[in-house]
Amino acid sequence: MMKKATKFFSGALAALMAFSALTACDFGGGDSEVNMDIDLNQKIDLNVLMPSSGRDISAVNADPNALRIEELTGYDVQYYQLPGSDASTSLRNDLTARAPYHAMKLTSAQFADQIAEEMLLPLDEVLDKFGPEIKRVISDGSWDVVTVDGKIYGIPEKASSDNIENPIIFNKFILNELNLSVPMTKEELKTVLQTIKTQKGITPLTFDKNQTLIYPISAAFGIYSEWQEYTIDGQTEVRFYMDAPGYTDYVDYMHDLFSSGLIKQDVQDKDASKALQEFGSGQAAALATSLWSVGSVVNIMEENALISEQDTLAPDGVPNALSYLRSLENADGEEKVYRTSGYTYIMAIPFYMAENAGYVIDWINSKLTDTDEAHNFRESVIGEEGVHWTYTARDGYQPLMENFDEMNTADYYLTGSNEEVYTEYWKARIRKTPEMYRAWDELMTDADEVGVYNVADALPPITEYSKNRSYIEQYAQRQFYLMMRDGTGSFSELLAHFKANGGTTATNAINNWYLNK
Amino acid sequence: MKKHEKVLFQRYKSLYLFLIPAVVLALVFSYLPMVGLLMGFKGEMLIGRYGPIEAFLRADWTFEHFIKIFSDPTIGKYILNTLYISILKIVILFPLPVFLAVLIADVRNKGFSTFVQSMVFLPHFLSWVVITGIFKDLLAVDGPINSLFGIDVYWFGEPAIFPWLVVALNGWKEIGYSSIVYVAAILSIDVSLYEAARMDGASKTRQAFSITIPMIASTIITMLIIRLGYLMEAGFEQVYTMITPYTYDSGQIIGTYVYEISLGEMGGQYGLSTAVGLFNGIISLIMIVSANYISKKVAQEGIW
Repeated sequence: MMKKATKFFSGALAALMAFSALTACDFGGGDSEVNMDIDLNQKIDLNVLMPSSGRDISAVNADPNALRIEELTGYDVQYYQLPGSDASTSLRNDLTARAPYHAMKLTSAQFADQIAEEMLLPLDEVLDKFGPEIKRVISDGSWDVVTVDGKIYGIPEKASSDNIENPIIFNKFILNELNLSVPMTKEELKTVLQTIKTQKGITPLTFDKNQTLIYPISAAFGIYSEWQEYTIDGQTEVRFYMDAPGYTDYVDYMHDLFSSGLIKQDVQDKDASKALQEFGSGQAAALATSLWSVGSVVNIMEENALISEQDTLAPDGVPNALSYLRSLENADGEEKVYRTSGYTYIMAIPFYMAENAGYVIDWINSKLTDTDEAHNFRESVIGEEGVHWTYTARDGYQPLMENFDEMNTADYYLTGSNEEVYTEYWKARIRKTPEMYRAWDELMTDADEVGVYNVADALPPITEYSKNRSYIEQYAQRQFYLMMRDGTGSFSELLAHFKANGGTTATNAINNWYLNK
Repeated sequence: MKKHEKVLFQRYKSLYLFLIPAVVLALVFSYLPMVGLLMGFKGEMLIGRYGPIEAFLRADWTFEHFIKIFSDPTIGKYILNTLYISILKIVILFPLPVFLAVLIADVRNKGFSTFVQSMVFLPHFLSWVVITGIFKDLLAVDGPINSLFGIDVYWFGEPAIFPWLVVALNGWKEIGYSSIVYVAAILSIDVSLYEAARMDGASKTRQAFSITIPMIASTIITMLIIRLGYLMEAGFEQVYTMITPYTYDSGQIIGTYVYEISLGEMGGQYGLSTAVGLFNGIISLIMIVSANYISKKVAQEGIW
């Protein structure tokens, strides 16, 4: 009996050891190399990790746009997606477990994180051999953003267009009813909100929990973007908004609005969809949001019967229910505001999937090709001529409404963009929602004079910055909401904490890069 | 091994076989992972690149995480928050299931008793995400409860209210489920005791205090000691779903903090989070050992 027990026990122990040896083995295999002699006629099936689509993954794989791309490139692709929340955690876990993704579509923050963790494959050689079109249609400036220590680690997808896209939108009917117009100065803004509050009995301004810099308002205090150049005592330097000269004035102003009951009390915990609902159902009259929500806002207003039949009979047949404030005047009476730029996504390959990198690059190369012989890129962005769009020299690409719905999800499947032509195609996409196009058109007036860029939007991965980024961003965001409620009394302590916990390191890293670039 | 023990082992050796699965489970899932505690003494590790073992060997030894724990006032604050919420939960919520069990056991109508039990068990099977969602809507600034009373309190955003809200929701969710064990204990009490009491003219309250509670006292004490062992665990899942920027100051507990800096929004600091976890574990160990000691002294009863 005793012997049996010993045997059993040693058996269990052996199994345990074998198990731990196995798991350890899993992590050993990191030395695979790029196979440069692959036969491109013998294509393999690709596993591609995508950002969260908000749809079921089977819908993502069955989308007509996915099928169109398979037809154009000849590659069968199986898409996977990250979850909507805690995506970076999920990504980190997947890669630690060596999930077999041939390619990944990452946000620039995720890309920088993975560079810092040394998880990505350098692509220089494989790009030279399999990606001539990729190299041609992406500009040198864009390559800089994915280059670390002289090596390219990703394929950047440049934003469709540099947009001014963070307005405060007003319910036009309420403005008209109360005889108000869109405010131009911070004093006017307060008066307008105050009037709405007294006349309509609602707390007028709402936004969601991820908006700490309300750009149209912070612009009045000289803060136009998160990281921006300031001249302080004759010295030029880049600073984070929390450390910007006008920041306390901005927060004091927000605190004033908040304590006067002009901002919803629970914005610190509000989901974006809830904010849209409040505005769309008339519980709020002003909404700080992004341009891309305009379509949904109008839909919600229609559902709540805030837009009547008559209102839709505007001269151009488009419901005209919204007014836009893109920026209050700053201290010099000028209008300046954040203009986005940079890189929505970056394609990268995990280092342990090096062997088949050639196929991935060939696939992307084929997708970006847009020549007279093969308009692969155009077809994957806006579909086919005569079916999805028409072209005239005067109006550019115009969507054909009955079929263009199918193209709504096309941008999700982009893997890098053909920078020579993308903006023109993209305009067809925005023309599809007339209210959105009008908003975009209005916000983009004189964009070149008004727009201010965020220095960090074109930042290559810098370890000192990316290691501290999430902490300082979160910290600034939390403290903003607290100070909006309580005032800026303890600001100097908070700023000291910010500086000591990564703020200074990140700021120095950005300045080093910015002043030497 | 002493002779007496040897004899006992010989006699019951086949029973030790039944112990093996439990020992193996404890080794694999409780003791083996403790090796990971060494991460608290290591600098930055590239786990994704090299896997846990090689990354561990490559990293430098350091005490920086422990220095940070003892120098960063916010971490001390989180420990206090944890204790505060946890003690509130024990003081307010521990007696309630006992009370509920006494009441339930006294219900004569079998059907009604089952109905009440099912109703109070139900919330236990809902996840915290769902419960927090329900209460966030009920207690929203423009929500039904505020409109009913004509007030506009922002319940989920008031730091002073937050710990009490945590306790209240936890009570709502778990009281019914926690009372099961007491209901069972009460049902095993000899009925003749109650008959005798009734003959002597004891009222219901009198019976509860003189028979029911003393008879289930050992169960109550065991449950209390087990509960005290979780003193440093103030309810991660619950607080994580409830907390917002306004309430970090009074609501951030060790559990949510460790998650946040290792896997969450400020993630990737595995070394620091391990160190905080280890520190937390040591406090818990001290707590449960002293609770058991005190209980043995005072009530002559302990769990070992």
